[in-house]
Amino acid sequence: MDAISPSTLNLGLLLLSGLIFGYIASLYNLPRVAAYVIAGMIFSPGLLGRLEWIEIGDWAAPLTTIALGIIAYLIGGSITLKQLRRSGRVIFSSAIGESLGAVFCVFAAFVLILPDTYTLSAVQLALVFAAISATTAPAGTIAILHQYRARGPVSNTLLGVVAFDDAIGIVLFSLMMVVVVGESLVLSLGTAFLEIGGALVLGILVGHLLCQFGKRVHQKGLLLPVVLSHILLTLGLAEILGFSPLLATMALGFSSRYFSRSAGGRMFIQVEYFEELVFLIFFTLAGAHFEISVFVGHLDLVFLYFCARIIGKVGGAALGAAAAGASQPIVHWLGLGLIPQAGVAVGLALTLGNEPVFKDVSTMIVNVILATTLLYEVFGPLAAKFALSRANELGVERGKEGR
Amino acid sequence: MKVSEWIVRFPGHIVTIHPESSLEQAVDQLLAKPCVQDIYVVSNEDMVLGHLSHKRLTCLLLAEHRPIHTRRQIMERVVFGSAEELMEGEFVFARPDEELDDVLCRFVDHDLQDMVVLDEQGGLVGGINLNTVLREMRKRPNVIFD
Repeated sequence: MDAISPSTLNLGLLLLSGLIFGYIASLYNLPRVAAYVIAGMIFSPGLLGRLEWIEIGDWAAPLTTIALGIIAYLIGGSITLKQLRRSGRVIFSSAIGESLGAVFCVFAAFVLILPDTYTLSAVQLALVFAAISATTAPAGTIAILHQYRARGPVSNTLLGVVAFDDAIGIVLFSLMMVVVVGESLVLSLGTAFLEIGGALVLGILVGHLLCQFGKRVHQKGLLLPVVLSHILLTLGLAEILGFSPLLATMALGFSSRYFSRSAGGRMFIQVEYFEELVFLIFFTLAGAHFEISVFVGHLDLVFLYFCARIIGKVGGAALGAAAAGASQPIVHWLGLGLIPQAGVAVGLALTLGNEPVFKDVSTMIVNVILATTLLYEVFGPLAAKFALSRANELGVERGKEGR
Repeated sequence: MKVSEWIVRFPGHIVTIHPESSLEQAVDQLLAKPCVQDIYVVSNEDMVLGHLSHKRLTCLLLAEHRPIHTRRQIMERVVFGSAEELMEGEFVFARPDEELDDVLCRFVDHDLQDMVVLDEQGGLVGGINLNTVLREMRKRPNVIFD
């Protein structure tokens, strides 16, 4: 019994509360993500966090790193070179456009407005928010497409874009980390090459190893430990060698699928079951970091990020789609389907707390990203439904047939 | 009983398709033989390259009716692939010189109905159908040890 620390108990209580709140939310058709956050808030310093034995402390850092590593592995393995080539110029160009559009708009807005009162310069903080803004959340978009039986070119492009823009987001985030954590821009460029190149080489090498190992494992039950141990190995080696851990695990996912020349079932299905657990961890932990005073004190940043990211996504998607010669409905309406932001963004914000350079601003960043995620959770599906309706791609809503 | 003896006494039907076949062609092949649950992708040289299960094909075909997708499933839904891209390259098989007794657990562990028997080069030698095994075992419980 002595071996059970309060940390283990805290994690158990945190996750169980999240699950219970999530279950209650699903009974009333409310977003589960919001329920996870509210469950986490119970453990925040303003509430139960005041109790001595409730402490979301050092144990959370390695947990978020591993959890985000798992998500990066899944993102890397979600697409093959053949699929990338066949997905077509419109999907590729739109994904690049909406990701960079959000990055540009959020960066510009924050650089212009952010005061120099933080330990990081306005440019550095703007880079952090900009890099996080590139990601989107596929779940909300898929739910709308399913609920309204949406079909057509906009729906199809939307699916393609949300499937792989998180990969662009992780690359941008890794680049940002090198620039912000680096000592100078000139030094950073050299370091960036090493960190990014090293991460890719490491991911590819371990991916090859994982593929060879996987071929020799015939027991289904052993596949999960094999994959998880390779993810941990990659994360650990990347940390020791000073490479980007996220990029390394993403390269691991991509290369292991490439080398195994398969649809990815064996190497990914078991790990995909972890995705909900990972997001449960992210959202409850982020909720536990919620501080009402920090939130109220940064309402301006919440509003700024919320608006700038939407403008960037909509404008960038339109530019990207137009550049690839997409049809008018895609150019006009694609961006509004890309508003949701969820687990990956919150996970990226949480991992910032692991870097000493972000120590004083990580709570503020987590609070801003968390608040905007909740807003996007409400606004995103409405915007996607509006866009698909204007593109004439909505079918009969499920459950409303014959009414 | 050796696998090689079994496939002579009870030849199992294995459905095969070309690597370039589409998802729809694979489903048509499967539906043409209602008793078959597994399809194997075979090259022009008769080498077995991979496996497609009934469940996998169903998931791909009914993708738009599912409210939740993983990123991998989204991409598969958007970019239709050939049988070679959709198949699982690492699959379960039997060798002719194996004891049937040693092979049967693979059916259960990997949710298989039809297992291919391959020679050392990966060429298709025959197939074992699980229903046939069960039917024979019900008739003669010791049939696999004969």
